Amino acid sequence: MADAERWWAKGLLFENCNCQLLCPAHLSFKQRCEHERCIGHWAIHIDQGGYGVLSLDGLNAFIISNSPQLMISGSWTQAIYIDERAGQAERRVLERIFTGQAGGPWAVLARFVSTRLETRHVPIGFKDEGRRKAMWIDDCLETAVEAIKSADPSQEAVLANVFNQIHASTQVLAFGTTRYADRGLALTTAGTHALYSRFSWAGP
Amino acid sequence: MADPRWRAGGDWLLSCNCDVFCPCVLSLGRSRPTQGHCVTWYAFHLEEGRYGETDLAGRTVVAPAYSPGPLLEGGWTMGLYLDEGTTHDQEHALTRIFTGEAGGPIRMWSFLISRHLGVQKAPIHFTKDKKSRAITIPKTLECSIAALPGGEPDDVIRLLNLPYWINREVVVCRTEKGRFRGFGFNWETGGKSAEYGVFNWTGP
Repeated sequence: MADAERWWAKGLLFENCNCQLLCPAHLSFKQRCEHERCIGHWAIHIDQGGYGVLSLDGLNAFIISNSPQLMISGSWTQAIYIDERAGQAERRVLERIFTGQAGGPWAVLARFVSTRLETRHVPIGFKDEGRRKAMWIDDCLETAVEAIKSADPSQEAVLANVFNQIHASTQVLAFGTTRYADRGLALTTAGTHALYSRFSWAGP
Repeated sequence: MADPRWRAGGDWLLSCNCDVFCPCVLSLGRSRPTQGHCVTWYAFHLEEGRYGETDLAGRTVVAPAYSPGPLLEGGWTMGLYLDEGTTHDQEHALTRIFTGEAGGPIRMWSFLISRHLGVQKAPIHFTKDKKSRAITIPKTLECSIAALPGGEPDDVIRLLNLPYWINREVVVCRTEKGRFRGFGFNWETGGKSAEYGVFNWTGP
């Protein structure tokens, strides 16, 4: 059952998966990914957000999924990591948001997840260095994405006017490098599909 | 003989055997094509153009090409079709330009093409609509491509500010019909990646 409480969040979202740029599933879940399993992550930094009276400002989260080659067929396995700086109440609402129980865009993605590993509360490092964005978790994750070369170097090269549940409609094209392994999920990439955008979510 | 100053501008399109969207565009030819090798045809319709004293306006060029691996590694085999109205002087100019020999943004073709299968003249029909393009050569090439639906349905999905050599703006498309039989090749690209845009080049 969806929450009645209204919530919203704005910030930076970046992703990296094991496809080459551009991941076919990014344009449609009906397109096959490049490998037998599609493994990818979403790294989230909330600049500002609220859930009822709770503030979500400045919190980080990391979500990794392992899905069949055809993402629309579901059966995704997913693990969520939430910033340990979040208080008990904030941890609970972030978990509700990312598992789709609080409605909004994540409720659509949650329909594809069949197996959830237990959410971990850990210190999550985040750095925004303009064309490069990085996130890390001490015992299991190092990831960074970097905007591809652009014609006009003062601006990034983008993919514009794409419908996406969680990204803004304009996304910066990037190459990503990730080293992640935890509880049987693993992702190792070097220079593969990556994107970043400024998201704006609301629910329920 | 040195090439004179030249310019060429108009519409272009291509269809290839990669999944949507072709990784070669975004990696500038460094990525492995989806199927390991690339089969494609480039089509250029010159709205305007001049090579020295020779006017090139109205001419259409189709360049089918095969690349055994990442495009930037070269080893391409290609041929050229010029539309049947092409004069002797125009043929010289277009052959110099569309083999990369006359420099400009297409200059890299001069060192990526290993085998040139020659120039053929044929009736070539190029048509464009708001969100689609088509190119046909009777009994040889049947190709229509359509833009993927954008988030804002009135507009298409665009790649902007790319360092891509043809043009910095590209429309993301799928091949609706793609069949080529010529120069000893027999290729199908229906359902695969495609793109269109405008170009505006000068050389050498």
